[in-house]
Amino acid sequence: MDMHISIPGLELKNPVLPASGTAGYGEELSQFYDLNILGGFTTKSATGKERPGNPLPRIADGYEGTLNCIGLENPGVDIVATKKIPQLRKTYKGPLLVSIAGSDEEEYCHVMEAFNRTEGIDAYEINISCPNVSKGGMALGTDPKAAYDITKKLKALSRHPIYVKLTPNASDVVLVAKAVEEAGADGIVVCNSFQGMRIDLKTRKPILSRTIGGYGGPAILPMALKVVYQCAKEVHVPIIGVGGIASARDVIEFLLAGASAVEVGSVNLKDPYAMKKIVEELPDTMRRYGFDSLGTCIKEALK
Amino acid sequence: MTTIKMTILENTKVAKDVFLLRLDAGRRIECEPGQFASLSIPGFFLRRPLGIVEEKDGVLSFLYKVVGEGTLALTAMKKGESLDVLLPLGHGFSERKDDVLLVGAGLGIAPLLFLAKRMKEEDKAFHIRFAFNAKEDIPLLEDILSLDPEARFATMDGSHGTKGIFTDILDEEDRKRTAYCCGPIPFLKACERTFPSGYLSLECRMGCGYGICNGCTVLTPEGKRRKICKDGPVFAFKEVCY
Repeated sequence: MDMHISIPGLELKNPVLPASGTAGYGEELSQFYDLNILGGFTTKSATGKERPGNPLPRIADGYEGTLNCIGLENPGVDIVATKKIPQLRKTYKGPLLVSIAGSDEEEYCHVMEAFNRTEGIDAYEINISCPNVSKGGMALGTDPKAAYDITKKLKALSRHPIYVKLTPNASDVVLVAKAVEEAGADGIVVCNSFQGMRIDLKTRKPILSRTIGGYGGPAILPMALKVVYQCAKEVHVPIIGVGGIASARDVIEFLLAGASAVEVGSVNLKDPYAMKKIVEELPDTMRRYGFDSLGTCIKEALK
Repeated sequence: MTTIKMTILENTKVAKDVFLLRLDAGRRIECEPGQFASLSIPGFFLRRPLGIVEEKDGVLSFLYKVVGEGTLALTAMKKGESLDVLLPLGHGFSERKDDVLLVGAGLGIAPLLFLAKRMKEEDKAFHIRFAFNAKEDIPLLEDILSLDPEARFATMDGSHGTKGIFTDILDEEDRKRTAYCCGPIPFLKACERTFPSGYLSLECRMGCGYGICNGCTVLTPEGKRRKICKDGPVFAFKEVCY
């Protein structure tokens, strides 16, 4: 069974990575299993300075999914670059995709410059899709022009290939995908969570402190898959698919829709062993459906 | 930390909207008072965190209150059915001093019962001061009295013990003691004002329960980030803002 995937900066022994923000910097998950079984690892987004995130509650349960409004809580790029990544690198030797976020262009650049000086990074994920911050984040990812500008700027600055993570909450995601491709992105990550909300019947008020949050989990799989499929038809750079993936068959479905690799997110919250199970199930699932190689089935559903 | 399929031995109502859940893990689980477990309830995406009341030879006991759809669905589960449980989670009451108060309100008594059992084994003295709305809200009254025959109770309506709140059952000595506290947020804040030192256990909506999602972060007075699920749920007085 050939599960190997090769995309810019990332030689993946299998197509499974965690989605940024659902695996921290690896400290916790590595207590459950050896992270080296994964195709790659994606870190939680870092910003220029430490961010405390939004007030609680930041989490609400959904139907086959979960809503969150964490708000890019992170210790800031200096700690991530000097402590978190070196710590992860002590045990994890595989491909490392490091996520960058910010409130404005200057902050994204500052974060990237700090990471450019850090060893052990293979590629960047540019988060222009966080739904839970008032400045930057999704605001950049819903506007093709703003997405183009930030991508162009960061590509010129970057020491590594860059993957731009898009939001499905843009009025036309494909336009944004084409814009970042034109600006020089080496790949795109499709897609971040869908906006949603829930109301507590006891208090009769929204559950989340910010009312609206990002909805992820198996419930969004068909919608995220559709966005991957639409982008795959129009762009030529590799796509990392993300949205509700919870099993090996889901991974293959995203590959058929046009993804070259996938990120597994919300299900990590439910089951710390989720990605391990997915990786272990892949060979049997491939055999059951007659796939000899994952690399050759990418975009097959488009043909 | 691991996930284990556990078999339900008992799931019975023991007070108003409160159930005692006993699960067979099939093997001993090392856990300390104040730690919790997260249960995957069929039909719900996120797990539900529950404080551990006891661990004895691989049998875990929990008290839970019906607060929403998830816990309501849990009440319908029967003896013999199995639940996927992630445990043990968080840091509990690891510093156990002698001659302390265990101060609980409502279902906040759950981790304190585990603490009382452990302190009894360790030959440490403790005094129970529990507050409820009414007598019908008190679970496991006999167990509480077997742990501390002089346990004091306050109820809002006076239906059991002293009429009033927890401060109405404290004597002068109590107010000088270290307190181990669990209950609703206003109660915890009142505890911090009442006792010279102590520990409190926080409760909140959680995502993962083991530290990856940053769904339950609180700040220290200096602005340092602390995860309730991983760094807590037990914190020293004044350690975090909530």
